[in-house]
Amino acid sequence: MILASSFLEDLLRSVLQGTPSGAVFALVAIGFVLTYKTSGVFNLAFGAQAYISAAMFFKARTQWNWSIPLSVLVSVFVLAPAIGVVLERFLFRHLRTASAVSKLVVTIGLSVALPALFEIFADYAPVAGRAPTGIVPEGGSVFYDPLGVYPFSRDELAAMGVILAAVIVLGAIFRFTPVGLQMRAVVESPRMTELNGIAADRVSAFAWALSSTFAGMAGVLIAPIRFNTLISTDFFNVVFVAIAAAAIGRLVSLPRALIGGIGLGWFIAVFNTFLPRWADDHTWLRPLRDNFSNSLPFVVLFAILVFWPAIRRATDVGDPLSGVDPPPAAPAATERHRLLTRFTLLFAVGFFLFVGLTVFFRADRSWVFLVTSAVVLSTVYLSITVITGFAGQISLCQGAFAAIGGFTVFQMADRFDLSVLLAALIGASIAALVGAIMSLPVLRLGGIWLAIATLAFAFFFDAVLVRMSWIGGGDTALLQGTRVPRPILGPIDFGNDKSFLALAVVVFVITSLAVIQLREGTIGRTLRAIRGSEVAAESIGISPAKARIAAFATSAFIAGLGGAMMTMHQENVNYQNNFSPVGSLFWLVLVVTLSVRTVEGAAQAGAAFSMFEPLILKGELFAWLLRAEHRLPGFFPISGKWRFILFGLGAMQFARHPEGLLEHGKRRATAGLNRRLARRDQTRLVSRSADSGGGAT
Amino acid sequence: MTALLELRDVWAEYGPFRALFGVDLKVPPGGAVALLGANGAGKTTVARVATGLVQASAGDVAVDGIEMTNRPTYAYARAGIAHAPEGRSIFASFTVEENLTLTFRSFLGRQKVGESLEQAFELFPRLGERRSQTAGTLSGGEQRMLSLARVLVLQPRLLIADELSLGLAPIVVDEVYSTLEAIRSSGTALLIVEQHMAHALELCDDAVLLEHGKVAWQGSASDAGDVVTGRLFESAGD
Amino acid sequence: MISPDVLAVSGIKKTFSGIVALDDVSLTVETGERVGLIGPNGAGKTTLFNCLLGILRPDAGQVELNGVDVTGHRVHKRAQAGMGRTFQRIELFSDTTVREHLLIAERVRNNSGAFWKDLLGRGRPNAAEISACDAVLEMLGLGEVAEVPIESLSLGQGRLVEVGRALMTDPQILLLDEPSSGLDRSETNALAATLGAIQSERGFAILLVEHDVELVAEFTTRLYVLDFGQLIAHGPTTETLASPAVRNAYLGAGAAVAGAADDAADPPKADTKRGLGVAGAADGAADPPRTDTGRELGAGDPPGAEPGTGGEL
Repeated sequence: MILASSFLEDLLRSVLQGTPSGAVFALVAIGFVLTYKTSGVFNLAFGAQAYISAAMFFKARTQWNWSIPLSVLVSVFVLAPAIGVVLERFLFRHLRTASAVSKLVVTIGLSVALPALFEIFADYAPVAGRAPTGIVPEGGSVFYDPLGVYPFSRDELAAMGVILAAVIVLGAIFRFTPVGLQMRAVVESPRMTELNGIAADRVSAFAWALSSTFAGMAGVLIAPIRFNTLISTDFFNVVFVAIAAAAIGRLVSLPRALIGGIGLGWFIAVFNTFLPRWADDHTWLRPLRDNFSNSLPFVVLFAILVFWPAIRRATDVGDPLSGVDPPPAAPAATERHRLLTRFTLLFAVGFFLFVGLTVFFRADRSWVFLVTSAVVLSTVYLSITVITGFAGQISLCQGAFAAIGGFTVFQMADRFDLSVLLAALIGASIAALVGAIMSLPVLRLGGIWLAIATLAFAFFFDAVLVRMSWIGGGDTALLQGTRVPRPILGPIDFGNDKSFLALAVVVFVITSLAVIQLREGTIGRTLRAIRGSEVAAESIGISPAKARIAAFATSAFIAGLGGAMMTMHQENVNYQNNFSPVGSLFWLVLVVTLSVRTVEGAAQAGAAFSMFEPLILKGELFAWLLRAEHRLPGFFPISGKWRFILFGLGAMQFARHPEGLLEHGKRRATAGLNRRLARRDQTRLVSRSADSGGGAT
Repeated sequence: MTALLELRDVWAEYGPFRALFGVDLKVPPGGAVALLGANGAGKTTVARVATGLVQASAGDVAVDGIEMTNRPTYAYARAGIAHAPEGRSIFASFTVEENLTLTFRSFLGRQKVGESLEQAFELFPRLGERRSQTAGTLSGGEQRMLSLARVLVLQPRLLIADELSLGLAPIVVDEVYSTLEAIRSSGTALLIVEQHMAHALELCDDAVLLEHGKVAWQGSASDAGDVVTGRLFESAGD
Repeated sequence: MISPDVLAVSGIKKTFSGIVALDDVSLTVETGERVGLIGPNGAGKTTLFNCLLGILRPDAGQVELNGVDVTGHRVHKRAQAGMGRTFQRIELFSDTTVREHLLIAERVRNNSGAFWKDLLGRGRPNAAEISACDAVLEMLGLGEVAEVPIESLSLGQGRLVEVGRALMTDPQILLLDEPSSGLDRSETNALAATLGAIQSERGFAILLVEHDVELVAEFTTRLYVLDFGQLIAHGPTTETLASPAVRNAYLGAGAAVAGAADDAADPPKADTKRGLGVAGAADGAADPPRTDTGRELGAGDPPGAEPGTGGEL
């Protein structure tokens, strides 16, 4: 009897305890659904928008000592909608017809660039330990305990009240005003909407203002009940957790997102209460005990995606009037002039010889390290070339595949003293196997849902698998690190940095050649067909499922190999630095922004990722050009934030040039040179015929 | 008399591809014009220019004598021009009823929505049976009916219909044309783009034949048959 | 014993959330035969088509391809077994050229264990494959646009590319989904002529779903008519079109299908005859007092001009 009642009491307490964080998830989930429904964008920058309003509110309250209503007014009802309108006007209006991938890439870029921009222009810097304040006085210190089981703070009550009101208001907007239907209409086809006498631009500006205001409100409400310090990355993380709740609403249902959010909060709280007890009785649960609650949202998300058939049926609907747009420009100058090909080849050989010789003979240790990082990273990026470039699938878990390669090397070397090169191949194969298995349940998911599923896998790997002793090393690794030796092959000891660089280059070149062979071969053709039209591909006997599994496995193999190389290079797995889920998000954006279908794109992305900061921002290139460290102008080193801003701007450009920025530039240059060379050929031909004509007479 | 719709020397492009090379066209109030021509002659582009979906790169478009060139599409719609584009021009994620409601509410106001819905379902009973079904799951022909129902009920000042009969069973085409006849007699002007000329010519007073983005011939619909046949043969012989 | 039916469908049933879309539909297509399938909008043509192709799985009934039961097979398996198709709204592989389309199909047909061959560089199309593709392109009259990106093709050419792509899989039967959709008269004529010529050369069967009655009348020899998910008529095309049931359900009261009969008997000449059909239509249109509501088809002729074709079924 006592047992039962204490169980019920604990259950009730954990449910109540979970309600505030459930409200947080619900806020973000509703924001997701709202943005997706009214603007067609799966807005990963939601957290960034929320952060800006929260930070603005915080600054107004603490530094300017504004009153609460004024601070709310400015941060939530002025700044937030203004940002929304600006984003719509200059970015998303031009992206209406863009693919789900481009929109996703743009929002990832925004989520990085927006906080950095805000921090620079508003002169804001997070200070550790300074707790955010809420919208009610003494929100964090006055508690109410209606049931005598769990006390709610004023801030928590305020948040829960506001969210309830917001859902009612939004519901009313969608049900009783024409603007709800109009916003959905604009998402599907702005032109059809205009044919109905509705100004599409105004509707979508309103939609963005509305969803941004909601984001701002969410930020201000979440900050005091969730965070001790106002940092943008925390908002970023909470957004990923809330995706599960948004998925329960299938991205279109506001009430379901609310229920999903609250439910998720309860679920996590209940698990946190009871899992430790069960784990006391059942030893096999013990490894889960400490980590599982972190990963719960991702497990839930993955389960929803895999087991809920309704998600699979949710396909993107195209604009019936897209024919009005000018046709996409034919790929410029894929055929190159003979001279141009020869010239590029010559130039490339010369360039690499120069760089190679310089690095081998002149560079110091840190430079060899950087160049090796770039080469190794480029190998990993080739995996993105395969899965996203060739197969057209957005995978956000390449970091996890790479980590599998790295951890295998560590485990094999640590436990069995196996040759690390052999271990690298085993690791790549395991990654390929995991990739193939993971792809099975998510194969039929389209566009944005596949991205979400792979992200869920990445976070699950991050939260659970990495902490298992037989994968990430568990407690031992925490104490002693994940050390890995450099390979030794016969007489060559790759402990020498320069010889390891040579090894990295060899691995990269072999992988590149394999990737090119695949692209030009049947697999590449098959994938291109599926990318173009899945139904048509099936109609000529292609099995999309098989082709995708092959693509996932290949991609994971390459990622695993690259990850193993990275681990050997750094002589440590360095999981948090190298392979975190957020990191693989950046990888994807970087590669896709530069050029996702070419080997050069992967190489350039690798170089950009590892060398941009030291070369450009720290001014080493400039210093080298000046040949004097001390004459470096005062604005060096440039704030690292500019890296994020540039990265964000690059990602935004992607929407306009989906072939990638470098590829776009290259195509334009090639087209121009081709024209010139063709003209020269012609004049030559003319002059030659004139000559011969002259000779004949 | 001022024309309801007038295109003067209109040029238009899709990116690098030029579709219209100086087209002149007039639709008088209450008039009916059939726009004829082979595929790729620019018929659809004319229809799009007449509602601002494609902007003329040169030349003028006027509605009721008022210059409308480069005005956004919704301004044309508010001036009383309804356009049923070719193909399945519907909101696939909306229900049948939502599709129609969006149009009716915007053109006719909130009060008339219910009444107009009934009219639409009377016209196409199949749609009535499926009023709360998602439009994207309708069959091809039903989607076509839905996009026609939108504009047929409105009785706009000018109705532009692009490839009405595409994908519809002959029996339904007959029905659509008798509806067009009816709304014509109630004062709506028509601009009909059709591959299948017989119906269109029967309905319209005037005909305009486009060839390679230019007006090759225009005159009364009753003369159009001979002329068009002769020309189509010529072009087919090329 | 090999059955002469390349496609045999029996007792197909399909319901969507309680609504019966197909009810006990059976049809056969013999080797080298041209069969039409028509019906009013929403009659279940697309559903039937999708059941044949394997996009939908029927609730009951079976589909046999060359005597093999393929009811449980996926779309690509049926394609490999000889079922080719085209799409109503053309589906092409973006970012590729015309020849590349055919090459993809050819590579897929010829290749198994592609992965290792690819890595060894043996996955690239060889000279024989390229010339096979070029032969088909020539046959379709697409030789000149072989290198052109498909984005800059006209709709008619796009449809031919679809046909060519399907031909590379060496189909036993080609399912054509409203191939005239979006094409004008002369383009439809050209397509029908080309298809007819290739079909008589290669001998595959065709199942044609169409709204263009004229095309159906001329191109097919046998016809199935579907309404409310059931077959309401089938038989030789001319007679079926003339049957009262079909007129009431599909063509409309005064529809005339006369004249089409002659053409249908002689497919290879379809092109010129169809041209004349257009002339007839235009002439008819010039005559103001017209009562028939058939489309251009033989519009100049009075309804029921050919006695003996009506009501035989």
